Amino acid sequence: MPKVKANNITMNYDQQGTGEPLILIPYLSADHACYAFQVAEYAKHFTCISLDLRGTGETDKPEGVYSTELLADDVAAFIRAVGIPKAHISGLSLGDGHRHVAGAQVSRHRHVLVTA
Amino acid sequence: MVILALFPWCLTPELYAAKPDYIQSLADFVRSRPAQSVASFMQQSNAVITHDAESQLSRITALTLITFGRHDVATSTRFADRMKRRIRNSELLIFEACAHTPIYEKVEEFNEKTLDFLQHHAAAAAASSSGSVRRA
Repeated sequence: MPKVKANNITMNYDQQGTGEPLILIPYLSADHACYAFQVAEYAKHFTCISLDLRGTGETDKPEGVYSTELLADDVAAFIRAVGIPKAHISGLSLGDGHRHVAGAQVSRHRHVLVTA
Repeated sequence: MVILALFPWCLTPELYAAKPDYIQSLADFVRSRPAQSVASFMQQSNAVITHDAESQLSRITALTLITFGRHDVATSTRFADRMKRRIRNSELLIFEACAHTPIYEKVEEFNEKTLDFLQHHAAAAAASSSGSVRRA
């Protein structure tokens, strides 16, 4: 799995498919694989980039207080670090788009899927 | 922890009754992934508990699809209209017979409808962009 340094942590992610980039943000406690059922279809049309949030999977798990603002900053830094100027963003529950969209300042991105 | 404490909040009782083998396969899938420590679980949980995004919603300008499960007790549909009003370019989609995780409860329908949203609007954006080029 590829890893990238972002917001002072090392973040793990998976990339599958071709097409415009689609960032998939996991829910509470889950790693990138939680979107396996979706990536199987989405990857036929999009480059699916599923990441491990701070505290899950193979991304760093530093001590300290976590907030959704901090997680949003991580996602924004991740998007910059992998060099994506514009993407579709999808998230579920903890990872839902709106929690990260505002903090990540991704209003410049293409479309957002917010799964509450 | 996830299987015993979170699954019942995320999946409908009807799904447990109708598809016990599927529930078991989801549990097996969770067990196959790297286990999260209790400390990390509490850190992420506290991030959820202390978060209120309402004041941030109006900052979202990207075209947005908001989805809910009709029977979600974790993030109830009582928030749906407020979210839709505050995210100016948004559409609302509610999955019937689902709780918190339509991505697992109605996989085919969820994939089809979300892909349709992404592809439809991506195509429209591309057409608009090429139109701009032609006009120039």
